[in-house]
Formats: sequence, C-alpha cells, structure tokens
Amino acid sequence: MANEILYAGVADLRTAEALSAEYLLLLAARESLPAHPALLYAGDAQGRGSVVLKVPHVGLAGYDILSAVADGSAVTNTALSDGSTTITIGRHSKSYEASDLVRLSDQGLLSPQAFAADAVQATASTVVSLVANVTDGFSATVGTSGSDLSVANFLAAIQTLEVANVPGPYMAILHPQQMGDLRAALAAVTGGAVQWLPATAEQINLLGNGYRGRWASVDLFSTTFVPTANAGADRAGGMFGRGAVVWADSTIPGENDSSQLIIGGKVLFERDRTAKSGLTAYVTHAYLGVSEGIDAAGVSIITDA
Amino acid sequence: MAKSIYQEAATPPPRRPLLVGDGEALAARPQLEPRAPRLLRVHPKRWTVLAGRVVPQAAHVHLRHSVHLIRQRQDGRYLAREAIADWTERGWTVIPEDVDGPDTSYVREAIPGTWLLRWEQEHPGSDHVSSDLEGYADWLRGLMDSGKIPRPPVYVLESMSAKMSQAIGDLRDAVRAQPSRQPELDRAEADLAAVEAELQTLRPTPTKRSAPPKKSNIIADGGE
Repeated sequence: MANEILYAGVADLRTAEALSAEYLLLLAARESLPAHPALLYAGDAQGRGSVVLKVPHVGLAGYDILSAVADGSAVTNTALSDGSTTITIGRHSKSYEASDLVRLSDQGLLSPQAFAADAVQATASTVVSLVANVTDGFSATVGTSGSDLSVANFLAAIQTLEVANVPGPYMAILHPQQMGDLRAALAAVTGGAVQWLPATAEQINLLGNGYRGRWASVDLFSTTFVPTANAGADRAGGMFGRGAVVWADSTIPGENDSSQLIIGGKVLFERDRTAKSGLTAYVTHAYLGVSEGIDAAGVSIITDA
Repeated sequence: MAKSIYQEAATPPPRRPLLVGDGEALAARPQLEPRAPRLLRVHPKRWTVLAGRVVPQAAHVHLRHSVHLIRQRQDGRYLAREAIADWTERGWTVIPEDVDGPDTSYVREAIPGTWLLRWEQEHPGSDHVSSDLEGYADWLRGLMDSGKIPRPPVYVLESMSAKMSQAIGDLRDAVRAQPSRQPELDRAEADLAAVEAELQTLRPTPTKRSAPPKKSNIIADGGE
C-alpha cells in the first residue's frame, strides 16, 4: 500500500499546537481583604493634604477610673493618655504590555477585560500581603519554634488578648501550614468535641475568600503571604482584635480619560498605547498603606513552617 | 541454507540519548516566590529556645513600601528612619544589616526579587528553603554575648519557665495516652532546661539583706 495520509505528512494542514478552550490559572495566593471588624480601616487619603494618615489613640470611655477623694478635698487632674498610629499611603503598580501581534492572535485570554479583572484581584491580594507582613511584629507571642500549632497555643493567644482587654471579635491570619496543623490538633486533641464552623459561601462573599471558618469565637483566615520566622524554620501568623492592624487607601481622582477606568474608586486601570512600537500596556495602580496599631491588641503565632 | 540464529557480533551503534531537545541545557532555578528584604528586630518580651539556646524571638522588618512608614526610593533603596524610631519607642531594637562588620549583611538576594536570610538556603528546581537553625541561634547568642542585643530579662524567663513547666505537665499526661508524643515531651524538657540554665546565670546572687524601705505613711493613725 502507498500514499497513506499520515500526520507527519500533512504539516501544511495542521498547526503544531492548538489552543484549548480551557486554561489553567497558575497557582497564587488570591485572597481578598477580609471585611472584618478587627481590621481598622483608617480612611481614604484623597484630598486630605497628606499621604500620611494619623489615627489618634485616646484614653477615654473609661480608660481611667475615678479616684476616691476625701470629703472637702480637691481632686487632682488626671493625665489624659494618648498616642497615635501613622500610616503612609504608597503607590503599588504593575503593567502588562502586549504587542499588536500578540493581541491580534489572541483568542480572548489576554483581553482588556482579563487584565481589568486581574487588576482587581491583584490589588486585593496586595492588601492581604501588606496586612500579613505586620502580624509577626507584636511583642506578645505564642507557639514553639519547630512545633506544630496546637490547640493550647491557640487558646493561649486568645487568653493573651483577653488579659490585655482587647475587645472581640478576634481575627487570626495563619499560614495554610498553621491552619492545617490547627485542624489536625483539633481533631486529635478534642476528638471533634469542639465544633469547627467551616466557612459558608455567604461568609466567604462577606469576609473574603481567605476566610476558613470560625473556632473558639475567632474568625480564621489563611494566606501564604504569612511570613517566615526564625530563619525560615517557622511561620509567623497572628491573632488580633480591633486596632492592632490599621490600613488605609486612597481614591484616585479620574480625569475623564477614555483610556482610564477607575474600578471601585480605588484601582486605577489604564491603557497606555505606544503607537510607534505597536505596543499596548495595561497598567494598574492602587494607593495603600498598612501599619501596626496598638501593639497589645495582637499576638504573633510562631510555629513550625 | 537455514538462517542461523547465531549472528556475528556487530559493532554496537553509538548510544543515542532517550530524550531529544535542549531541556537539559536550562539550569534549574529555585522556584521561590518574591520575598521583600528583611531586617531583624528584637524585643525584651520576645524570647524563645532555638536549637537548645535561649535567644530572642526576632521579628522581621519587612522592607516594603508603605508598610509601617517605610518608603522606597526611586533607586530601590528604602527609607526606614521613621519606622525604626517608632519601633525603638515601642521597645524594639533593630539589628543593623551590617551588624557583623562593614560590608557584611545577614540578608542576600537569592534570586532576583527574592531575599533570604543568611541562614536560609534555596534549592534548584524547588520552592523549598532549608534553614540552618543552629547557625542562626549561634549568631543571635553571639550578638547577646557581644552586647549588641540585650540579654533576656529575668521576669520574662521566669514567666517562660512557668508556662513551659505547665505545658510539660500536660504533655506528661498526654504521653500516657499517646506514647508517640514522647519526643515532644523530651524536646519541651530540654527547652525548659535551657531556660533554667539561662536563669541561673542571670539571677542576681543573694547578697547582704538590704534595709526595708521607709514607712510610706499611707495609713492614717487617727480618724477623719
């Protein structure tokens, strides 16, 4: 027999590779900022005359109790306790730039809409990463280097916050390794007698997709942005109440420019065309800042990585 | 003639590699996510036992623009003076990058955009980072011995000792039910021994009993 039509013989009729209609997202931390009362949003810096926001701390609402004074004696003045947390808003940006050849051969994966959606998620993840970077800096710590996060560690963190008069609800940001250790400890130590309330779809919508559930009245979030500690041997998550972590952002004023899109008032997404080179860039900007607030309102949880 | 199944030995053809392509020419790089450069800071309340030594539980100063007053200049370097002043006011001591001498650093850029501490080791083709915990603990002890960072306050060690003793009691109970937790208990006992030894060196030796403080007169002798 001869003249069989074999694949190798019809190179002109076939392409080397055909793009599947499906695609895979590369793995990444894609959590969004939890809308949790423990995180203090210090406000929007737009039009405030500075990119540094100061959050006053004041010792009122019962901070100092009354002194007993003898009848007829004058009461002495009480010193008002105060302090502040300052947050510097900074620019966070990224740009994807594609040539015309790339764009004209694209089947929708690298569309402006895809870049715009990326801008939103990337900004949310940036906030989470900034917040996770301050949770290892509390002066109070629980956990043992090289040992898995235990139920006892977790309860000790709660106790530390309660002793420091930190109002609830508390929020814990843990590395997924720590979260897994806690789940395993709960199963082993409590035998399931203590209920873990896993995140429901509604809660995830409300609290962000890093939300993992609630245990011992603490809302649990996990992200791989939680940093390492002890020369990489451990991870340093944290548990805190309101005031321990403070963040701020800024609305970006629009310019009525058709190449600009301000998403949610906070994410500036714009198209930058370099005509001479046949290049189109999709640029994202967000203005964000995070600081540690009241040190005693948080506990670092440092356990095996 | 019948074909012999025994043929003369022919010269073997040159060996061809099983795989074609130039994949092997590409050097495997560590698969690490970006990590900002970090400085270390220590606080009088944060202590731990690493590799059998009592050392500060150092926290990281993440050099990231707009995190805790840190700003990044256009040349890529960081302005951290305000942040360091704020931490100092909160009781922290920031360990300078060149604490071991001029032109030295305890951080290094392992691959572009990924900074590791000197005791962290990346591996080609992997996202794993090994840590030389002993080396790190030795370094921290060296800084304590040379007075570059303070020694632990006695009250902190006493508090650690009390908490560890309680945890060891709980662990002993747990080991009866779960003998596989014995190594955990051994480690906890060794850590406690390290804390106790440190306490012995730091506790002031008892001297001549000092005179009691003067009467404060806060209790009135008569009526109103």
